[in-house]
Amino acid sequence: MQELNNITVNSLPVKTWNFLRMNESKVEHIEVDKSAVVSMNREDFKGDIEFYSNVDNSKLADFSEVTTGIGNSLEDIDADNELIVIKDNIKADKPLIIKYKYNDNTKCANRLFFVSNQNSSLDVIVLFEAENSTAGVSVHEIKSIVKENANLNIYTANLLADGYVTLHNCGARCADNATFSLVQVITGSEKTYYGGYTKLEGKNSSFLSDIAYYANKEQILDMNYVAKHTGRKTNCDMSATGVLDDDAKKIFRGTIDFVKGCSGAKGNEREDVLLLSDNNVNQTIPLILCDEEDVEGNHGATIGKIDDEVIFYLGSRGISRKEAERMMAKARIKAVCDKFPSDEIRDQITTYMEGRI
Amino acid sequence: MSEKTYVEDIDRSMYDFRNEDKDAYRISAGLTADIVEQISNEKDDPEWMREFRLKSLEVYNRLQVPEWGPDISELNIDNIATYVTKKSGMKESWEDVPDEIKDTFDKLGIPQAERTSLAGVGAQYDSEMVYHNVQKEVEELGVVYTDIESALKGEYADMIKEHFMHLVPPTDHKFAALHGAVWSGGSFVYVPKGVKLEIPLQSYFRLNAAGAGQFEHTLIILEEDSYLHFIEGCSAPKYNVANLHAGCVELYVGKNAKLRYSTIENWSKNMYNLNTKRAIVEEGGTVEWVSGSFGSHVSYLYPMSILKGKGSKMEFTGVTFAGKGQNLDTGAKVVHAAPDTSSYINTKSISKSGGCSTFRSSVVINKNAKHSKASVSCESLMLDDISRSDTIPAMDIRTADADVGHEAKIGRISDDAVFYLMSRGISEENAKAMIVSGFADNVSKELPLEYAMEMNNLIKLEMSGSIG
Repeated sequence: MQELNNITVNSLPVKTWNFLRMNESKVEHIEVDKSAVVSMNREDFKGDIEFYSNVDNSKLADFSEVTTGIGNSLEDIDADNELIVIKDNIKADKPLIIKYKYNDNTKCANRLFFVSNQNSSLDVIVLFEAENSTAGVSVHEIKSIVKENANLNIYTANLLADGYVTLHNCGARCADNATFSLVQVITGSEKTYYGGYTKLEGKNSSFLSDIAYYANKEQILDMNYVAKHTGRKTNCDMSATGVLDDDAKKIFRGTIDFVKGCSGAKGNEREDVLLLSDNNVNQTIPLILCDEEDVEGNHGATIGKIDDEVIFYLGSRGISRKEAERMMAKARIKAVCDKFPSDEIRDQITTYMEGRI
Repeated sequence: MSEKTYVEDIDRSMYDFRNEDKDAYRISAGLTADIVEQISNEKDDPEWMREFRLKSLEVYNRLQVPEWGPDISELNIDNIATYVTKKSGMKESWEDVPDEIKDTFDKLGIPQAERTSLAGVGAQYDSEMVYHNVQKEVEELGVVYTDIESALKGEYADMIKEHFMHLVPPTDHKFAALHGAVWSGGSFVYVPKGVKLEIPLQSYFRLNAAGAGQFEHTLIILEEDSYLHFIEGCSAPKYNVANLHAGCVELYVGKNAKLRYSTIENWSKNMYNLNTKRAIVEEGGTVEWVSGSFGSHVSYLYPMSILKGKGSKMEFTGVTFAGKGQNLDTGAKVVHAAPDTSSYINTKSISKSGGCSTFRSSVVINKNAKHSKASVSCESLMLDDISRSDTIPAMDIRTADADVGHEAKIGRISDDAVFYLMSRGISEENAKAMIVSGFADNVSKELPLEYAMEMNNLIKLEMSGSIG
């Protein structure tokens, strides 16, 4: 059994007033006792992708420069490391699907390391599922190195029961003309921490993120995403859309960091939040840090309930307010679900969300 | 070879004259209970104020400097004289003000402004008010505009005691505690029920002494259905040692009353401006902040509005210009604590010559603030590649029945806008000058004409050449 106590996660790159309690979050206690059983369609990529299981940390030195959104507080946890290397010029025509099974209320930690070599392209779906399991701990980290002209698209969906404590963490470095994208469906669990940090180091590299979240009951959802532009003409587009219901609390931190020398860089960030309950606490803090003249940065946020005119219109069609809210909530999540490159997984997520919302 | 657009630093020469410190009473530098007692004795404080100062000192010693925001490690309170005065006393006529001080305010145009466009003027020189006057007609309406220390001992003593540092308690942060311990000077304004003052009042604060602090307290109380436009100006000559400004502004806006509070801040570039401003607004009331931040070496300035009454409103319009050697951390805070409240924050920041500007805001909508609306818009303009501009807006929303919008932009002068203007026959140079000047328009159009002109003079943006 491994334990972490009072760890700091999801720190803002630049602090603000302490009274807001947004600078970082604390996780009082987590326990992890093993790694989750993982399955993946390795056989579909024979000769194109190399898979290495239980990789020793000493062979992952290249990833030491990969920063993550949650931060380095999870590094002390031992977990199964899977190293996945996509060879040069490989353009995969089907997604790599990685499934973690959490059974019998287990407390698990796993790590994935991706190296996308030059001119390669791959979609990866990472799915977390639970059977006979209502509560537990899920710690997961994905670190990626995306080399010149490569394209790595990661799709994650958390379908664990709502009694879980979840810490899912990402980090990536992008070389010239590389693209890293992160599409995530985040369903709240008892306490949910998500982080993503992408360093756009190469010229013309890009980071695209599309996040949908839903939290209800007394769930806590805590997120921190950072795009750090150091390369010239780099681009990021970060979008988050979410729904909060019941007594759910959520914080979304999003940072676009233009470092000196990233001339020609562009960054956009947007969050839309739908609040369905008066007991929700919604915190949003979108940062732009700018140390370079020749850049364009924009961020926007809209927070509120469904427009009364929409409710009135749907009411005139015989749809109750509660049903209208469910429809709107599902539509927001579905818009991101539909981006998953697998009909089967899309259906699985949609069915799961039907049960949750 | 094309020449890169060059924007001049603000011309500060009109503010950068200084007087000798001779004849001035200057308390020892540093901050101890003895020094606080000495200030209290100098002012002949009532006993409650003496105790308040000493308790504030305890709070100051207990609190840490902020761990967020610009670096203030070079500010050493042991080197700051917290009280400096010429001991000339406060006058009601410019003729009676000592020549040297009168000359200072003449150069700043304050007496002339009083004659032409103000209903009353207060002037503070270092730690003490030296002049306070209000038009007779305004006085007859029951408006009180006086220095706060006279008010502390006169017929408004109870009112001062009831309101002084209740909105900004010394426990708020370290520099609020410092203010509570060593405050000196400042203005008190009381506008009775139903009185609408069409002409503004102005207080001007001048810090002449080197290595000194200014800690004036401004307390304004607007009763029901009243209106006031209050203008605050401040400047100082530049020294090679650090100066400190830790003023405090407390504004009480009554039911259906409206207060506009305008500030043109032009401290010298050796100044640490750690000022605290706060307003509480009752039902149907409105507070409007208009803020231009041009001076200081380091600024922490975020006027806060507490929308306490149903239907109360807040509007904040600000511009910040950070030039060489400046790190200006400015913005606004608002708490929606009642239904049907609304807030609108609109700011512009300009960074050049290695200056750093940060926009920082917080919008908090409490659970009971149903049907509230909040909008935040901030734009930043980078004028060269050695400057910095950060945007740190926070929103904390605790009711579903609120409508909150936020947008921010950062960038340089738009090539498209320049191209459009050039296609209308305007030269490239003029097009760029127009764009930069227009960027700060949100503040200048909110000021009375005379002050808008002052602000434009202050900016003095001079353009030459074209972007290379």
